[in-house]
Amino acid sequence: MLNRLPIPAQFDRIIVVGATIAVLGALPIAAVLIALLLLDELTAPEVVFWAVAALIVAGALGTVLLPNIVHAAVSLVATLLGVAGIYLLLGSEFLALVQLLVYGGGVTILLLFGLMLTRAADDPVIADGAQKPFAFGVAALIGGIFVAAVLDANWSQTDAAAIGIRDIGQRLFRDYGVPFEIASLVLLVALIGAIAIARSDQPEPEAAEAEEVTT
Amino acid sequence: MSDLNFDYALLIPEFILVGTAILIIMADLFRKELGLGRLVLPAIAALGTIAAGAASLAYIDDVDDFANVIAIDNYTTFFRVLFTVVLLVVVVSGYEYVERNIRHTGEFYALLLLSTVGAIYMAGARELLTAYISIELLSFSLYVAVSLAKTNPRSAEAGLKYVLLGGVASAMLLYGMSLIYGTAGSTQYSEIAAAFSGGTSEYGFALLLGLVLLIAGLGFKASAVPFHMWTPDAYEGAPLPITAYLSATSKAATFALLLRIFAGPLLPVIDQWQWMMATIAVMTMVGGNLIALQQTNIKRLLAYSSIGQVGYMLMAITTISDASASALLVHVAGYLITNLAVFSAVIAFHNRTGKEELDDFAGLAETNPYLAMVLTAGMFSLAGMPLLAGFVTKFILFQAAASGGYLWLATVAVIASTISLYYYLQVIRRMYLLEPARGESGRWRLSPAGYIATGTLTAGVFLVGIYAGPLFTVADRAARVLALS
Amino acid sequence: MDMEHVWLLPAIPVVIFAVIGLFGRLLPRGGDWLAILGMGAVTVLAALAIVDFQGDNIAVWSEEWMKISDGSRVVELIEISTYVDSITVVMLTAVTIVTLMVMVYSVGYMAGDSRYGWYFALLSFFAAAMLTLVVSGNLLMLYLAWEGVGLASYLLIGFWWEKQSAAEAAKKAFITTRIGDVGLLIGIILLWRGSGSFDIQEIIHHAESGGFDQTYLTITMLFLFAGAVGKSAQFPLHVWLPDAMEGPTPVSALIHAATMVVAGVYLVARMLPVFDTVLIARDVVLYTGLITAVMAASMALVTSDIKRVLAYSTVSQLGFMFVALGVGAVTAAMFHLLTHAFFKSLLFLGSGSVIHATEEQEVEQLGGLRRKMPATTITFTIGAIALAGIVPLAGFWSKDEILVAAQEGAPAIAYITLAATAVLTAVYSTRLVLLTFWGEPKNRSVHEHAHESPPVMVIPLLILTALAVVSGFVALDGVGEALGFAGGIGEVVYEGAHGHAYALNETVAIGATIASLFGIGLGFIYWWGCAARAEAARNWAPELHALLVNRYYIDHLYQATIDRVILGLSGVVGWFDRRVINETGVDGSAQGLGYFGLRLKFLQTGRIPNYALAMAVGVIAIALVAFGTN
Repeated sequence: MLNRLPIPAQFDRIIVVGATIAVLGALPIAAVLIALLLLDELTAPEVVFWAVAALIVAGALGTVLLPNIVHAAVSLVATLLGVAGIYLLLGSEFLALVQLLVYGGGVTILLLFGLMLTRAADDPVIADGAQKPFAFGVAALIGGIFVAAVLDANWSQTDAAAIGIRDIGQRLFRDYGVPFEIASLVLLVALIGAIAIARSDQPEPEAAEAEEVTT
Repeated sequence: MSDLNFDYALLIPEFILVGTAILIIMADLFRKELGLGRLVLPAIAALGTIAAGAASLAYIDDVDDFANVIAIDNYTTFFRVLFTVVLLVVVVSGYEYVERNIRHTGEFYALLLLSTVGAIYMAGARELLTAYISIELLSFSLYVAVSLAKTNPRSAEAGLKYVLLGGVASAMLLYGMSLIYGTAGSTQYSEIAAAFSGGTSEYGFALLLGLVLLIAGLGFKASAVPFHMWTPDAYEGAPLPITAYLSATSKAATFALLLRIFAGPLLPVIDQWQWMMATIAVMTMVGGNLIALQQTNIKRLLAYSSIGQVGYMLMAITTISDASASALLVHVAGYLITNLAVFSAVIAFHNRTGKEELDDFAGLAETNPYLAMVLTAGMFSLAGMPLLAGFVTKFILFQAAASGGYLWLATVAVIASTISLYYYLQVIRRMYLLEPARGESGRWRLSPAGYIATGTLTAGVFLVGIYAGPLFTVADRAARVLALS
Repeated sequence: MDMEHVWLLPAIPVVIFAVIGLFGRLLPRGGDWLAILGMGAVTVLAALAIVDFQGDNIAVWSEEWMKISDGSRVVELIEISTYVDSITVVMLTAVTIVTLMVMVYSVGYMAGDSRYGWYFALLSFFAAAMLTLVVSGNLLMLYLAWEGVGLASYLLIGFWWEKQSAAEAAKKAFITTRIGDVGLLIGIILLWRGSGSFDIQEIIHHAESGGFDQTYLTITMLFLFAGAVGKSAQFPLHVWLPDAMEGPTPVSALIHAATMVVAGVYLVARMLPVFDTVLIARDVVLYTGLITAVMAASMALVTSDIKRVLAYSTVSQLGFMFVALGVGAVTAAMFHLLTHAFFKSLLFLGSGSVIHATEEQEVEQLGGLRRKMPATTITFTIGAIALAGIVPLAGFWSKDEILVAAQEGAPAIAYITLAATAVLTAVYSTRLVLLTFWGEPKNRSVHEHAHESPPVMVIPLLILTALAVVSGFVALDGVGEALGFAGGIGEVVYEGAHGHAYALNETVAIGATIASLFGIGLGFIYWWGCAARAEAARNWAPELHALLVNRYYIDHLYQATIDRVILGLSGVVGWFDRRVINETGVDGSAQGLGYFGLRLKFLQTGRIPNYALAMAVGVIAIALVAFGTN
């Protein structure tokens, strides 16, 4: 079906189609949100929430569906930024900032560096197998189940007052010091693992010597 | 908030383990400069493990917690000792294999030590986040360790498979935990229990989905059907000591966590999850044992056999009660001893022959009757033959299930267990009834460490089988912490 | 020794097993003398205990083994306990004497075997397990011993594992009996669940006081009986016993004639008060025994392997015992168990003597051995007559007891079937003796090097012959009194109302004797002299003959079931796991796989997306059911 669309050959069909759908989808959403705001059906924060939510979902879809992995990585940034927006809405400026710096900045940059250094970006591979349609179906079902579950529950309400940095610090480094420290061990393991797996398989000369010493 | 207990002395065993891990990495770095022999690293690992295990004994009968996130009680002590023993066994029986087949021995031992810390905190956690991050510590260490074999081309692939699927499972687990947090309003086990015991109707599907995802995520770690598919591949690709470790610590830690959660915070909602657990238990024990019949590789066979065993253990979670909790602890301990005996023997066999297909075991009774005896005892114990550990522990487990009102489940378990005898006999038959391969009929001996490890473990298999009283007492004292009625 | 210390009986052989097993290579003669001395000591001790028994007292001894506590209170106490009563005494007599005889005999029979010492170690292990089984006072310990004798049997059937058939037979025996064992285990757990105890007497008491639900107890006892069916090779689990003849012949005499296979009879006899409270279960025992008795006897008619004939005969005789138990006649069953132990082990050892001398066990190849092996011929013939049930040999008395019990306590069909089986028994006994020892040698070379067995084998034969002749007399008052049991065995072995003093029922006795004589006559008509008449009999009804030779096609049926159902099911599940989930994803299209493999080398064998998909499907399935049911 995609092939029958009148798109010039020099453009990436999926990008064009995807961008068109994104724009066409964003316009009515924006229109509806603005209309609801003007009609006083929604408050301003709610409008922001829905806009941010749309951004997160669109970014996530782009991450999964874009064939070029660099495009996918950039699309991921949109999602991460959206999450920062959610933190802001919840009145947690500090977390929003951290989210922006660490994920929006650090992690994404690291990811792109990794892709460029390993030249994975030069040879885009479509990792879709024959099970793609089934995967879509299953994903849709899971999504439905999650939505149903979230809507069905009567969530326990907590005070939405802003949580200060001091409070976060207390919680993170004092009350939950143990899981924090365990997380640092996880990072240590990840570090060791990265080095151990990446290091070349060449037999180390010193290992051979060490054996000679003992034998 | 200020009344939290920050007594760091409660965490000494883990400090020792982490310290030993770092010491090993350092020693590995300067191995050449210091002129260290190849036995030094395993020796440090073994000593550190022994020290940690010995230190754990100081907490017997303590009822304490660290900052409300780690419980230091008999339950934790039970698993501290169990996991350090497993680690010691893996180090002792595996060092020869590690020397030959592992790329980075220093990192290997460090990872094992760190993963044991994760396993211990899985058993000790009394809070969901701590539990989750401990699972990740154990899992990350194992993802890496699985890919460290240098001779087996499947090792890296197995590691990749394990890490990707493990990621999916972790995501499920985290989703589940967050749904439970969302409904209960806390990650503390005690507060979740309090929240749920007041009725759960308002949480509706969210709580159910949380339970499903929690069971799926932990089911993956425990390799319960239908979340088991990574198991045979990872077992086959991993270096043998890691396969042993996967089947022992990784599994036991998951059950330590499962038991603590399902006997504690989730006990008030037992009606919602009991049938899920029962379904998965049946699928696991029947599926695992049936597929095991088809296997031709000893590691894959043991992988499916361990899946079958997981089914029995899930049965104990299903029928949760004081009796089944203590029966589960007994079974886990007995299963660990037996499984390690089998794996120590398989490692010794691999050290000698470099092979691991079932057909390679032909005529072992002739070339090494001792090893054949060890394997026979181990296999019979796994199949649940009397006078061996497997019988006593399985019997107690089945009995607990039967008296807990799940007679049909116990019956399925007994039948599944009978099916399992068939494939265990296939191995025994090859060892005793077939001729050794041409040119390999000479007798051979194990290394001293091989004799020590297999001998001790086999003695343990018989000891638990014949005089299990002390183990029962210990498990009872550990299970009592859970305060089930 | 007094009865409280019967735990010593199994303790001795278990120590000897350990000593020979560990140090057998260092001991002179592989330690056979140690095993025999030990068994001799056990026999003497058992005799002392039996003297201490004096007819009616019961001894209980127990020691804590392990306990499971629930906080402060003890939930469950598992004990090591022994319980000695009349049934135990009968079992002890049979087990100790036959084991000792077989061990002595084995010195000759197994001479020169490469694993001579290990053989005696295994025999000691078996003796230990069997004695534990017999003296055990609780079901858990009984089950342990039950599996122990099964394991010993497995190892001994497969003792010559170089022979493929021996290895297969061992496996078949082990797995077939395991099917029954599963039933037994379930039964034990159910009894425990209902009564809260493993102790046999407590369970009996609980049942008699109506503590169980009737339906529950019926199902439980049927499970329990399944264990007995497996161990005692009753229909439909009888298939393993004939194949078990691949083991050394003394083993067949010991395990597969006199001791292990009667464990099922023992179990039912021990639990009979519980069976009594649910009559349907007892009827099942009765008809199982009946079917087995006649079926096995008919198969014995056409079997040409001397040991297999005896195996079928054993199955048939065990069927007799179950019939007796089915009508509630413990006395008759235990009495027959005792006499059968003697004359059947005699027959097996006699056949072993023949096999030892000729290295041939097909009756078609034997014949005319009476001149070369006179002692074996005489003892074997006496054993066969005892089996056929001719007065005054042992088999007559005990079989008569069973017939009387059947006539009194069961529908007429039972009595008629048993009488017909008695005829068949006489026929195949006669056939076996005639084809083996009489007539002309059919194979010269076999006959040439035949010789009488050494004294170490002949002496046990003689002792057992004596027992096969006289052991029936314990039924008589006078003999019983002389041995210290006033009233004979009928007064000794009884449970509640079932006991009665022995009284010869003339009608039944004469009828049975006529039946036996008739059978012997038939045997002579067909197999005395030329083989033409036997040939004619075979051709008279070829379909029937084929049916019998093929063992009613039951083995075929089982093999097909295992191949098609169990392995098939496993294959399907395994295939599903491997192909559908692991390799191709749910679509299973080869094209997709090819594309996949081409584009994604590193995932080619990985199939990671498929694994993940399967996990997701699992989650969805459980979640949907959860949502649907709430």
